[in-house]
Amino acid sequence: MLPDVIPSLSNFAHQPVMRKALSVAPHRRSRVLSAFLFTSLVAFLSSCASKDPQDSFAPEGPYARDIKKLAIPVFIIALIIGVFVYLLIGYCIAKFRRIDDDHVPKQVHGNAAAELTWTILPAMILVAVGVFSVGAVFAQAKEPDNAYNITVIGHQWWWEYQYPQVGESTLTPRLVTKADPRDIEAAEEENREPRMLAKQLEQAGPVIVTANELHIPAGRNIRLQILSHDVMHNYWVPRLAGKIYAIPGKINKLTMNSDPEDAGKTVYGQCAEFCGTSHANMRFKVVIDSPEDFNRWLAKQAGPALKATGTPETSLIAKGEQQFVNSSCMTCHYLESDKMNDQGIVGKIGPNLTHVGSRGTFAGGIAELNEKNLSAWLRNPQKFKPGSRMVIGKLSPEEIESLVAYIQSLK
Amino acid sequence: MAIVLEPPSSSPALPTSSGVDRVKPADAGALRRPVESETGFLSWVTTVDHKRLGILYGIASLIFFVIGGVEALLIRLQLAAPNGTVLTADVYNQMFTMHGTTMVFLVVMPLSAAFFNYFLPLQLGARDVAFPRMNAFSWWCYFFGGIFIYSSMFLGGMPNGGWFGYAPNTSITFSPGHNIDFWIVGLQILGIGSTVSAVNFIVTIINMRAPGMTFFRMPIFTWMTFVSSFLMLFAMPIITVALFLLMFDRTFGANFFNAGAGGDPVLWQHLFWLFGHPEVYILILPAMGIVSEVLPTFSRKPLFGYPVVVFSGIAIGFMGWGVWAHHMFAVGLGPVAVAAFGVSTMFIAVPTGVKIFNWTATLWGGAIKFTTAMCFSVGFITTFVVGGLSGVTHSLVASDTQQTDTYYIVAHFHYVLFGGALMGLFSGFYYWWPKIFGKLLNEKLGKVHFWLMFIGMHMTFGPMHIVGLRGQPRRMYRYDEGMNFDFWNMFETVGSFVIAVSLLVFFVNIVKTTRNPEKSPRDPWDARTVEWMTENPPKPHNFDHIPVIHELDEFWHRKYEEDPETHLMRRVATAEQVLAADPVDPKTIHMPSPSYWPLLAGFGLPISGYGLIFQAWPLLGIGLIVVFGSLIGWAIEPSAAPHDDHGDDHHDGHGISPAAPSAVVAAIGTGAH
Repeated sequence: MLPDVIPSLSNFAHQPVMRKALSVAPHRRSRVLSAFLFTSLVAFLSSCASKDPQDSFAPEGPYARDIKKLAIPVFIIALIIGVFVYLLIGYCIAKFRRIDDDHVPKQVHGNAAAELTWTILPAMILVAVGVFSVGAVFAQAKEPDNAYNITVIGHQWWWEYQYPQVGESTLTPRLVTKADPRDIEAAEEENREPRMLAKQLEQAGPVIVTANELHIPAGRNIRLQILSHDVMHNYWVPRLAGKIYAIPGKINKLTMNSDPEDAGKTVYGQCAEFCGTSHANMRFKVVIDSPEDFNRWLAKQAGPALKATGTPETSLIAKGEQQFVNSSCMTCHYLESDKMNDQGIVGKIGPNLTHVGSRGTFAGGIAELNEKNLSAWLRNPQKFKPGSRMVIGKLSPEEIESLVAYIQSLK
Repeated sequence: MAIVLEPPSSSPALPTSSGVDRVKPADAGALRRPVESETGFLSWVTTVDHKRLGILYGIASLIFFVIGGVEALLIRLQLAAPNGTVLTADVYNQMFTMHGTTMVFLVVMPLSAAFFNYFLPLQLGARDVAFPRMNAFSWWCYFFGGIFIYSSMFLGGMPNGGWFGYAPNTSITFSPGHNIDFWIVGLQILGIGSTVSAVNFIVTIINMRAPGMTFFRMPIFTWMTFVSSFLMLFAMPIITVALFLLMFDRTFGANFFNAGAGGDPVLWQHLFWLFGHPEVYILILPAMGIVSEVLPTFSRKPLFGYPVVVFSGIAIGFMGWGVWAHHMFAVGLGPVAVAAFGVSTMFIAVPTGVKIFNWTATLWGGAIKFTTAMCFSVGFITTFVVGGLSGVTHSLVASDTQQTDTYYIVAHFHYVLFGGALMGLFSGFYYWWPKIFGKLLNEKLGKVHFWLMFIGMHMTFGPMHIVGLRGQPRRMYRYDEGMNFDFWNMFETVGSFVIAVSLLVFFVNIVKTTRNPEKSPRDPWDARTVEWMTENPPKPHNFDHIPVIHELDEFWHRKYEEDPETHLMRRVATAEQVLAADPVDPKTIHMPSPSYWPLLAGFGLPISGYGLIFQAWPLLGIGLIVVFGSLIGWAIEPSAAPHDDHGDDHHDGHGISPAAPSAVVAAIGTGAH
């Protein structure tokens, strides 16, 4: 990194343009300045038209679009005021120079009319802006009709989603507090009570639990109920809505929607509040499905994993499954299958892996779910994702191979 | 401590019949007071002279500025390209935490304190601050507090929870190391220093103005110091409470912020930002004060609308308390609360805008001379306009839910705090350097410094607006290639190195100026305010004769008079003529004696801090004994050094010792208390 940057820097400082900028005559400096400002303005405006994955000015749904509609006029007003002030300052700089050492200008101490003008006028502009701003706050906060409810739970460093079973559209989550298993051991050692955390939701009905990828039906209002398992997180899908914090002990709500014609599109999001070591690795995709696709997906997620049969990998997969069951994986990961149910263990620390093979990404949405990445992950999760909470012993290459085959088979 | 006010006459102080003076120096106290001297290590560590303390603050904060700057460069190198590998995730988190903590608490605040210390008494026409030993104590709190926080580097790692330290990420469960403990205790130590300073400056301004200096004849920098000190006085207790709660959570298993036990992590955010938002005005108001001194001087016009600028500063000081929740628009406070705070945030733009228009009107019709100080001040306005306007866009609550926690915010506050506060402070360096050191900083190098810093500033922070709106969140140690953040991030990194080069130019300038034997003229800028009505640098007692104030710009009005016919100003006296006065024998002026106690009391704080962090209770006890023992020693300290001859009421000048005589008299102009 260093060798790349240093030469380009020193080149820059010696470029003729720079030398010129530093030595131009005073009256030309303002021209250099305005050229610079113009260039930045062009760059800025052109950036508004981009289609970057997380561009907040490229909305794909009404809620994000309303925010943009509110912001753009204010940006323009701000720009006009800014240009006006710059012109004033520029004029002063160009015009009112000291001619010689004896040049003493008229001593003006103030002007009441001017003071009143530049107090009241901006205040009036702000009142007008404020009316729209307050309106937008309440419009965004309004509980929408016929919304589809999804519960979002932030974990260090991945997102969990809970969908109502097919046919249901309302969940009544209730917060319960439990000791964090990570802390119990430490607490026992230190002879103190384990620290309590707002942990899980107890659901009124059966739910579908998944992670990292949010599927939503296109064109339908989505009401997210957002909680945190551990620290503060901030759920953000720039193209669909503004941000909302995930806070332990609190249920926050956020409405988002996508345009009906967006079915088939994927938009991106990530955690925006610093939440510890791997904060940068807490990302996710939002898959916008057509209503039919969404129902199909949901139905599939509701059942047990489809097992691959009759392929050469079958034995490998069976081996992997055996390994999964016999190891400590289930302490943290739940997996809806016959064998798991026999064990009666419901691991809720890590992501639910029932249909993990159907997801495109894993490890907080940072890596494509493929053999290479999964093997690297199982070799050393902390190397793959700094600070990862997944604790595993050393696995042999054979064990990794079969586990990876099993995980990928869980479609 | 005892303060004996001088009678209103400008005659040298005579010790009064106060009981304190009757105590013979050798009769009381555990330690003898050090003998005052002009040079030597001991004279600096025991000094209570506001000018020396100002210089110490300046040096230390520039050193911390370099450290914080290196942290910023490492952050920029890490982000120059996608998936940077310069730093690990945890080290990156330490870097941005310490960059923020350093720049706020160890650079901008103490740099402002450096200017407060040096110029407040000079602008008031006083001989020192109200409580000189408390002033020294504040400095030692800052010095030891800064070293204490950075010592964490060698004791398990630097703080890594962000400068905002949100619970519960900073709880013992999620941050089990001592990193956060160092942050908590370090900020507490710094907070003691800031609170003590605030009291000191407020009392000084209220009580120690020169005869004739009404509040509305006070220089504007002093006014902004006044407002800023009140903000400090009221803001520091809030962060103190917040840090205490967090410390109890961490050290003693309390559950203030533990949702699982019925606590509320959002409480932390309220407390932190109720401190944190006034804090940003604490950072910017001093710089606004400096700019308000520099613009009139180099335009040769009085500050346009002086009373309006004063009142807008006060308005900012008041309104600054009603906007804290705009840092929390995405926290889920409910639509009524966020709408209210959105509106209050909008309206704090009004007094800020008023200031900008008044500064522009000061330039209007002036005789502008572009010295480096002036360049920095005009640069300040132009940058601050951008930061102010982007600030208004944050007040649109719905829009802010897109912008909060992104680089758009990083851009905004660097425009107001780097392009604003720091550029203002640099303006102060160039403006007041001849006052402090008697030499002019090189103007050519100064201009190079300004242009590099100005361009580097815009290159670094300008594109952050763009990438922020395009979805780059803050506090990310890496980003993916596909995010399309690459180009502007590389651009920003190049810009940050331009800033680094500009600072090198500044340091070269300092070295060059120090080596240059050429002295500055007495009034190099044709200045307007009282601090220029004495030597460069001033004598330890500041003024031979305490000036009597008749006008707002007193110095200017002694040099210029209005022509009754044309109503134009004409020069009637040179600075030398104005300042020509009978020299006064310094031995007849009583200045406060140096003291060991502020140093010792300050030294006890980090000791008890280490004791608390490592739960080494004996060490905590020793530290507290040092602190409170020092305070007792301080209280019973003799009023003067042993060789002083001021125990009896006459000045026969036998002082063969190099010591300047001293006594309890804190050297005061009166008439305004």
